[in-house]
Amino acid sequence: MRRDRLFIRSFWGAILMMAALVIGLSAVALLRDHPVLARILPPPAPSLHEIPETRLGQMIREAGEAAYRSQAARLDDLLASAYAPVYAGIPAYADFHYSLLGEYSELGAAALGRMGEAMEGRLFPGLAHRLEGVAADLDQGFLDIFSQTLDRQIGAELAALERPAVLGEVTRGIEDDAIARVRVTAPVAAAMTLAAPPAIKAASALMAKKLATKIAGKAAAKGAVKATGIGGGAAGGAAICAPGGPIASIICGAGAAAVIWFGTDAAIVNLDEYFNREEFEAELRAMIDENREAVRAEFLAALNAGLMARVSRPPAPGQPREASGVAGSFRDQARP
Amino acid sequence: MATGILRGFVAMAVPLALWRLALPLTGWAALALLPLGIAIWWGIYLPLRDRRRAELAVAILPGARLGRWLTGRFGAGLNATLGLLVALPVLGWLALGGQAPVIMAVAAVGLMAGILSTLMTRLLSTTLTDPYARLAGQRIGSVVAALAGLVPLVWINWAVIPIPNEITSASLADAVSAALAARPARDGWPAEVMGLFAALDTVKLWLAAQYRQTVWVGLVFSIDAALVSFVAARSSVAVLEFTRSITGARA
Repeated sequence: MRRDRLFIRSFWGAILMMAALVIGLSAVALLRDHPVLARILPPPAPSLHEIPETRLGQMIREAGEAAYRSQAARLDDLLASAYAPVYAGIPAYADFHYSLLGEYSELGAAALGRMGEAMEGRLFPGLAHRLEGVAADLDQGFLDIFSQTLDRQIGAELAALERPAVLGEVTRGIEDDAIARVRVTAPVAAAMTLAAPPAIKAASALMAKKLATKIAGKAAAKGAVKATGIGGGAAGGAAICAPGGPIASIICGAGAAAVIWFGTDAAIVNLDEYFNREEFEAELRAMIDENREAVRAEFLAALNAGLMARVSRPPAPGQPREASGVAGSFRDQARP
Repeated sequence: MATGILRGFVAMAVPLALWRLALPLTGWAALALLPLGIAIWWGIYLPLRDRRRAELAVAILPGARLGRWLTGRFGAGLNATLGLLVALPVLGWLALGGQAPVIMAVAAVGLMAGILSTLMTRLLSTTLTDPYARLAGQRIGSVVAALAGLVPLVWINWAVIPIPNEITSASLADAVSAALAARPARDGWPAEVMGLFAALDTVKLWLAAQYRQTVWVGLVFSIDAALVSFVAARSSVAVLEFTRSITGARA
């Protein structure tokens, strides 16, 4: 009987003690954020939280998409900086083109078939190097935005948990692996080191081809004017120096012909510059624009190829994170 | 009646609440389930033993040798142990991982089971002897309360409890490892048993998600999840029987 009474008392005593503990723990849980209690109580020990691999994969894809979008948005500004010296060099190239030296240099280069190289050297000096810089900048930007976005998403996931938690080792390993993969896989710089020089060469070659056609046409037009002028000049020079004998006549005739040759050239170049310089510069600008667009497309393709190699395709947009009940899940998934 | 039911409710709810609140802090939280385990075991054992004794009193001649051995204790003890092995982990898992709507519904089922079993026992006492009236009243009360609670619990599992959509695309191993990782980091057998329940629940949810186009799969999943009402009703009636037996109160 006494033993029974002891057992009963112990049982209810235990229940009462547990009730007190429940009330105490509930109060502490409710008031943990109270400034006074927060000073007294140690912060709750964070638990380890592993993010499911599928969710983490989705985060990685989203981070890759965000990084791609940010770098694609930066591309125009970066290319504008890289091409600024090229556009700034157009007037200087026009000065050279509308000079006797420039004309004969271009004619000589065109005759030797090396006009493209000459143009590349004059109009695009250092562009390939600057484009490599743009590619390296994009790679670094991609990595930075990717890491930041992934960190932010993981941080938000941890912050949404009821209890404080730190990232588990498995998730941390996958995150580190994803960042390392972005750093080394299909960098834009590697793609553009291969793609940029041929793109610049192709642009120079195209411009040289168009310019060579112009120069050839101009030379033919000048030929007719010069033929008449030189013939008359040589005859006139020979007549003036006739009293000096036949040798003097020949020398005077040749000198007069040379003066008229170059004089005619200078006059025609000046006239050409007066009437056509603006159009020529506009044509050069348009051709550089065209080249810049081609290079931009190469950059976007390299960025996209990098994105595809680093992270696979993102899930269909609009997929809800969770559904209410099994029925909710069915409804959401059954939509076509 | 009200005081007795309240006493039983407190004896059941307090240990489970402490278990839920204290497990993230310490593995010793499992000790909170000890009084509940004793109450459930004793609450199942006592009416079974009494009824068996009543049967044996009729079946065995007074002074027979076998009468010393056939006391009904062994069968009742075995039944109580089996009941405890089912009830305690299920209630522990429910208290630990259950969502608020489910816990409230199960608490209501427990209260209703206590009230119905008390009323049924009183009603049957006018016809049957005490051991039979008690056992039959408890069984009828708990089954009726569990069946009544089944409908709201199926609905809650079907339409209310949030289910992460990731599970539709996750592999089974991913889903189970994520569910295990979400538990408080604790060692020891209580954590292992709860891990088993977490894994089992995730497997069922994963299967329901894989066959989401088939409505009956979801319905079976919801009904299966609602079966906890039978365990809750039976356990609460057992705890009520225990508290009555130690306070000397009668239904």
